[in-house]
Amino acid sequence: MSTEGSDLPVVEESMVVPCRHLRNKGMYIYTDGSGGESHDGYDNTIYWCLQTMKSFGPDDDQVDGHECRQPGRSCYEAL
Amino acid sequence: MRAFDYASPPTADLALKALAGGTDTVVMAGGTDLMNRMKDDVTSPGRVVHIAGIKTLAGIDAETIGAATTLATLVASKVIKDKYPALWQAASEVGAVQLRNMATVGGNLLQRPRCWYYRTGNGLLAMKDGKSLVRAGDNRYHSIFMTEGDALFVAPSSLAVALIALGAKATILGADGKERTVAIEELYSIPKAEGESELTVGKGEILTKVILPKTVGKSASYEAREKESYDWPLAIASAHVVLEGGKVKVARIVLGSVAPIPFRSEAAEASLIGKALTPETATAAAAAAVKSAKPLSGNAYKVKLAEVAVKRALLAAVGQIYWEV
Amino acid sequence: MAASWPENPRLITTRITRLDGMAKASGKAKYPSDMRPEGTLFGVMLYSSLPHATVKSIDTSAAEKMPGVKAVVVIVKEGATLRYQGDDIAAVAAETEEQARDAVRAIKIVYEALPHAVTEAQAMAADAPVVVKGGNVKKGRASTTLEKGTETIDAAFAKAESVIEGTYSVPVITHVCLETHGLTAMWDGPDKIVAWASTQAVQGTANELAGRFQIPVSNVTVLTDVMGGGFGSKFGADIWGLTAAELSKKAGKPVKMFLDRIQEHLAGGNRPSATGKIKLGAKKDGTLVALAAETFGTGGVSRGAQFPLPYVYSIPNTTREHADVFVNGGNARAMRAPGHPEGCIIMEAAMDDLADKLGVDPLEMRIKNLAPKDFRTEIYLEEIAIGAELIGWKAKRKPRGKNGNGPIKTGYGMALHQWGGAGARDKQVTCTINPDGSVELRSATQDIGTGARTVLAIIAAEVLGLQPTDITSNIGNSTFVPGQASGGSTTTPSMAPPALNAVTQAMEAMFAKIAPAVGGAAADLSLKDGKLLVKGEAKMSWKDACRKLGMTSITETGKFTDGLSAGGVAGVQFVEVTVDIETGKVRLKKIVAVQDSGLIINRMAWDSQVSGGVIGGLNYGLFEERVMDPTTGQMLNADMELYKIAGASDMPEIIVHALDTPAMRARGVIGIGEPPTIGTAAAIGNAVTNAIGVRVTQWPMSPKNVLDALASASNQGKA
Repeated sequence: MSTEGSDLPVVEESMVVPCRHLRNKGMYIYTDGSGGESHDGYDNTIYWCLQTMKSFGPDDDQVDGHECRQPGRSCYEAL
Repeated sequence: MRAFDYASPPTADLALKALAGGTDTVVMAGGTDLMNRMKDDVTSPGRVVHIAGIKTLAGIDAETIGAATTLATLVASKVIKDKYPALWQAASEVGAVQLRNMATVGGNLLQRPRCWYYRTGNGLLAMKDGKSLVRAGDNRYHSIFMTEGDALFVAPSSLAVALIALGAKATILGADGKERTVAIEELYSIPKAEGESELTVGKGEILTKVILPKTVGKSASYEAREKESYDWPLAIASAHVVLEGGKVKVARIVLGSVAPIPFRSEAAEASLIGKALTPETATAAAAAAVKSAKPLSGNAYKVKLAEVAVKRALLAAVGQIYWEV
Repeated sequence: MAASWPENPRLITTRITRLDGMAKASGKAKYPSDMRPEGTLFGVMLYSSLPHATVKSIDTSAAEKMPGVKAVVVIVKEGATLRYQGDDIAAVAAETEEQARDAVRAIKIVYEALPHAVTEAQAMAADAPVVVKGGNVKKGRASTTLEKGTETIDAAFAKAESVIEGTYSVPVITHVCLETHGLTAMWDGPDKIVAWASTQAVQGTANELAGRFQIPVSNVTVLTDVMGGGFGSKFGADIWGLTAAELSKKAGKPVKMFLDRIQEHLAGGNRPSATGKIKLGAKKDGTLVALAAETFGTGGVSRGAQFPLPYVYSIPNTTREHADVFVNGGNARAMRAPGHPEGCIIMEAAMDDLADKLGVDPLEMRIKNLAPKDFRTEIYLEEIAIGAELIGWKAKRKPRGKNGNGPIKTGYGMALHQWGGAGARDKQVTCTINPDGSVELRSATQDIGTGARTVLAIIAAEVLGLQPTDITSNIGNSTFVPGQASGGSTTTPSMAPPALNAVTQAMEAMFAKIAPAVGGAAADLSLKDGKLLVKGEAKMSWKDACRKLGMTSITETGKFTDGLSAGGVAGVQFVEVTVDIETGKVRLKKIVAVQDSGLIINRMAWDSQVSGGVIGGLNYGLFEERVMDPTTGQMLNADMELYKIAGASDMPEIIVHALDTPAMRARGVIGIGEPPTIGTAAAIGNAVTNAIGVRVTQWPMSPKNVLDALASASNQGKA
């Protein structure tokens, strides 16, 4: 992610590969890559981690579409 | 549920023996309350003594109702329906058909409170660090009368309410084999400390009979509740009046689900003596009944329900039902 | 030639009894929780009794030695944080359930209790205990839409001729699946598992089991012949499923572990709460001008409390700010139309209140604000007209509080909703025609209430000129070809096209094979009324025709093709209630549900889905509420007694009207599972308000909430 005033390229979040253990309901249903769970104006996606089966990961921090795209996170494993 | 001994004796004498013999023994009739308490680990008796198979304890004979009589049998009785409508109405609203097939009159009288603090293992008075969980928490279903102390659960038996209004009695078989008869209201007391029970029937004793008065006036029960099926009263009232020359000579007005014991309102009764029973006098009696209410933080609405229950029970007793479409 | 739905279907769109209906009703159907293979042990989970705690130590030594205990598994490490009552700690497998429970009680846990917040009020307080690092309140960015020429939302409101402000609130509820979460796991050697799981996703569950134990997914078979409800909460193996499999591996015997009812409430998921502080403005004639909304809700320790708002209606100027609040109370899971019932309740309450202030018919106000260029608008108009007629809106509805002389008041309310329900395009169905005349369809989908098995059979029977009972429809097996996981109302639209194609392909392959033997070209053959026709003339029975296949069956795999299914439905519901203003008791008299969903395969199952959705919605509107104790952090009503659900005597008349028109049929198959549950609670709230003349701002419409609203209004001199 870029920081204000820097000249690093802006990395779109969707370009960062999510951790392979990240799950949400949409991944089981919208398997053809068509829709998704997030909608215009509201995102009520509920995520969980396959390692813990909970909404908190092995590092005891929250599981989230954003949080689980941080390669620096100790439990992150790329797809 | 924890392991327990189980006895199902054929006679009351053998039941007394079984109750005396084990450690921490309890009586079971239909089991519709006891089994749930055992599954929720609120009660863990060492021995359960099943009495519903004791023939002398079940059945209706004139004014005597065996304690092990099922609510279904009670509700099927035309005599009960015609002569003691307050009792019949209260019984016919309990749970649903399936429950009434198993639940008994004695069991209904002696069931433990529904208080969700009690049922989730916080004790009958639900105190923590000297403070009442009920007062500090969600008390929407709790007492609105007699709320000075720590016993804030509501007495759950709707049959008790009707029976006290009718002036009924109960027979208890003591551990020593001797029988004693008490007024229904004597079955209940307000516990002052954790470990005390709200029921006066002691360990090793069996409630054997309920005895209805031979002569009764007009009576009715009215129950305010949320669901039609399988629910508990939010407030229930039973009214029993004897009219002479169109005026109230005797009145017994009892409320349930509003106090830790069935709550008899002498104030409401006094307001009716010598008067005709009309919508106006019923309204006044109802207002008198709730004057002493001291609701908790979340149950002020029950004061209104208690008031309406008294008014409607009184008017139903004399056939003046204004609230049905 | 690509298959298409028949112009004049014989079976499709008609009422057909479910193939598994009798088995389910008679108790013959074997649910995953009924399965007890030889030697099955019972698994019981130890869960946190505290809402927030650190595990200081776990000692299972005593438990391991208890009678009947065959395996113990510890799930969390010492030092782990438990975040809600119900959070899983360890599990025991023993020969009987009682032995397992005794052993669980013998596990010695030392907790270090942490401060908790279990209500939104607690979590949002200034000095609130920390539920989640980074704060208990996660505010999203405000989003504002303004029409051209309007600079600010305040400027937009300045143009309104009437404005209402109100705060509407609906509590957390749980899924209350009748069959709780769980599975029975059985190992076959060191690297093969069979699991009977109560799941909405047999293949997803199989993948998770395979992944956890590092075995090939082809070695895992998850079986879900029938299951007792999921509502969005059963998509994977879950911790208890994986733990059951682990216990089973340790013990060398199958292990059955299903949550008990308490755990189901605590840990099986929830629908987040929703509160909306709303300002809504309109012109005198009811045309909406502006909406300002501050909303929040909690899903426990997870996110998921967002919801659509504005909902359905076209509002030119809107601003919305939403916050997810975290509490130590369970973990939200998707629940039947996630977000929509909540958004509908808040939107429709505000619409109704504004209509009342304007003196405009709430129905006319809805019509006025439908999006002009939206394809649903035509559908809404049709549905509103039908529903209004069925409930008697024009004739019977009176202004707020004016309907009834005694304490019993009558009220009418309505709500609009919408959903998607398009299918996934990558699922398959295999169709096998056997020489003995039997036909089998297979796919790894499952039935959470959709009647999936029967849907496939109807399609096959339609094409082959047979009856649905002539078809064997096998689902619920993860080793079958990829089937749709059941969520989002996507099962039927995902499965119907591949089914149609599979059967059509199989029929064409069969014709190609038997044509020489029956004296015609393949193109001359057709099927009707259980017979094979050659050049339009009935020549032999279906069975005789199949025998011509000789020694080999025909098997074809059908895939998805375009044009057979679609997405996007509307829906309108009307409710009639009576409210006793002395007791606050609400009685539902009638609910009218007018619903479209394209081409309806099985009308009976469809009516049932709509009824079921309405029943779910009426429970949400009248009874359900998760109650948390602020002091101990416990859930106070983790049962089926004080967590209230309607029984038979609480049911109103439910009138289901399908918008089954040529235009709708032409759209193709669309899913129906979720839409019918969306608008009900909203319509009930509006009906109650219409009856008593006072807005009840807090759901559910319990006697307490109704009486509190009446008392509050009377205190303010409004009543």
